Amino acid sequence: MPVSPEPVTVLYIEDNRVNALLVQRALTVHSTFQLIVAESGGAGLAAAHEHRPCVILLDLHLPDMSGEAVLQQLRAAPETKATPVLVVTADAAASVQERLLTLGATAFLTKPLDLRGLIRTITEVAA
Amino acid sequence: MIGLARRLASFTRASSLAAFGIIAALAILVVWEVWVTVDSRRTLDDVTHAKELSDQYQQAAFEFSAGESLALTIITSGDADAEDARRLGEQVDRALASVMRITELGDANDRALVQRLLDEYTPALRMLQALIETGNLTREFTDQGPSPEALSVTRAEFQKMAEQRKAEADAGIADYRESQDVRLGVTAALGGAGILLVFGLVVALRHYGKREAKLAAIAASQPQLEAARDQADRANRAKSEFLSRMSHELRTPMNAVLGFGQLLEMDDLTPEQRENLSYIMSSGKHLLGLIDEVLDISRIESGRLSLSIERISLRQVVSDVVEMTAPLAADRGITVVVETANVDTPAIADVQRTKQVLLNLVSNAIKYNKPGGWVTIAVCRESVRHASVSVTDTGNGVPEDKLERVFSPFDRLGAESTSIQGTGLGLALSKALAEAMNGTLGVRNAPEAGATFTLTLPAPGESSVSATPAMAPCSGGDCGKVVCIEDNYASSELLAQVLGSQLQLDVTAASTGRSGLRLVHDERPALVLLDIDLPDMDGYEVLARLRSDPATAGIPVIVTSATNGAHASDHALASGAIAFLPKPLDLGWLVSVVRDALSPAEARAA
Repeated sequence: MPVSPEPVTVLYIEDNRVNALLVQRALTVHSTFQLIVAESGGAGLAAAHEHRPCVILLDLHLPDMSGEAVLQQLRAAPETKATPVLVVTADAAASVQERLLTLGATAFLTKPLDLRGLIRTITEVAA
Repeated sequence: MIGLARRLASFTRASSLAAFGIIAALAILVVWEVWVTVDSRRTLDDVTHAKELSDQYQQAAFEFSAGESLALTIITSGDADAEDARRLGEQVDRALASVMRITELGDANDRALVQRLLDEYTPALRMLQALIETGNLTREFTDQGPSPEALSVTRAEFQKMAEQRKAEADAGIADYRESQDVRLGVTAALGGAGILLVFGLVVALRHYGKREAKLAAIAASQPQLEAARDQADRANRAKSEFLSRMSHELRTPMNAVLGFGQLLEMDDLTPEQRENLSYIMSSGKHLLGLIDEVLDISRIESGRLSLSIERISLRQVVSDVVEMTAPLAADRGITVVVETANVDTPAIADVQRTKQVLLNLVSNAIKYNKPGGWVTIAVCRESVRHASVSVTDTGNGVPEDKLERVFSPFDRLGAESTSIQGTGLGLALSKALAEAMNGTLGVRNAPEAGATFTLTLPAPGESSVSATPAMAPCSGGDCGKVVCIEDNYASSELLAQVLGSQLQLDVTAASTGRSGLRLVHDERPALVLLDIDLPDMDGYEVLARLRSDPATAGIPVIVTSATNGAHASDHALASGAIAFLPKPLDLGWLVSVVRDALSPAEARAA
């Protein structure tokens, strides 16, 4: 696995703290990652604007707005237009996945997360 | 509302037509009745008259007869006195009065007859008058009376006329009676018709009223029906929403359970802790499987299961399943044997769902087997239209009376009391999946022991997949390396296995266009397999960049895409690909195309 010397900033937009903590722990196993957690869509968009993460992990079920809307706004903003967005979902049907792909989603990660797969995918898209 | 008006109008038209008909019939009957009444009145007068005339004849005949016999008695007795003469006079008066009455009632014939009668009797009457006045009634009377011959003729005529008149009167009475019967019938019919009309009108009015009420009720219930339909739609959406939410809600905690479990697995644990953790993990995975099965069954039942039906290779699916179940089989000491023809058996189905069904069948065959038993998987082309996979175990089989229940959800046929893990949903789901793919799933007991489950799926019309003999191993260098740019992990894994086993190629996978470009640049493979549908960039852009970079311009690229058709193929070849393979991949074709692509490269390198 290629490891870049610069820490990879990952923004996780997720309202479920246990899920956020899990990803936090999984990523901290590797010192290469720095995780920022936002617990709402609005906070996520603000954090994306402020921190310019290398990768964004996006949960679809957020308290203030839909994950789809967050994705659209991320793609509309110049500074996050090209940032890889990994949609973390428990149940996305093929039709939903297709729509999200056309909106600019980079890839999908299915809950329950396979942590090794998560790290591999983040590494790949962050490159 | 237009329909309502039209129905109303047509009903009004029909009902008024019917009412008009009834009224017309009734009017005809009324006219007839009046005519009959007048006619019968006339008839009645005639009959009464005829009867009176006839009676008068009888009366006259009686009076004459009585007078004659009285006269005869007086004459024959020879001792008539004044009293006898007076009685005879009175009798003659009564006789004359009755014949005079006949002249009043009767016609010209009657009057002529009476006249003749009176003419014949007149001399006798005059003499009788004198005799009465003198009181001297003697035998002379007989001599001076009317001649018996003439009298008898007149009396016969009189009798005849009396009979005629009586017959006429009787016939009149009979006619009248008959006409009265007819009139009674007509009156009854008229009354009946009247009642019918009234009844009909009442019914029509009631019906009309009811119909109008019904139509009004339908019109009024329209919003209710719409509301009910909307409610049903909402309920259906709510159900879909619920399924989606439940899937999310149930899987979210599983994420934490299995996720933190994975984290623990990465730590240094004591053997006991590791064993405890393995139980948490295996139970968690089992629970996740159960959740998925319940959701799948719900989806199938609500028609929300999305399938990707395509041409699949049953041999490939079976080989994947055998590999996936190998640890379980090894754990139980079960030997899994695959019986398959050299030629691959294609089917038209969803590859993931077919795998799911076969995974369930093979795991069951391993779990419900005797220690050290066998599982035989047979793939065959059943007929022109069907292909099948049979999974036979060497366990106890299924009791004949329970064969039906094998596919019932949650019915584990007593296995719940054993140590064999299961949800009781697997076979129910497998059968539902088989049927959703236009296939079947059946069970029968094997001849010796154990059970055979057979999955039958539709097969494509022709078998174009040829056997692919293994290629001679590539002799080192770059020719053994292939980069696969494919976002679907399962697909790239499949390619790696097929190309690895069939052509001894080393496949490295990249899941995005960008990582793929970097990988190709770093690895310099002999071949690139490029999926057009990539998450981060268009596959054709990847192809264009590979072609424009001198370092990678010479590497042959095979394009794969789920977007099928001649256009996609032309586009790929025009963009510089050496071949275009539609997805789902025909693995035999893939292998031959890859082999052909690498042969000239070897020649060039040599």
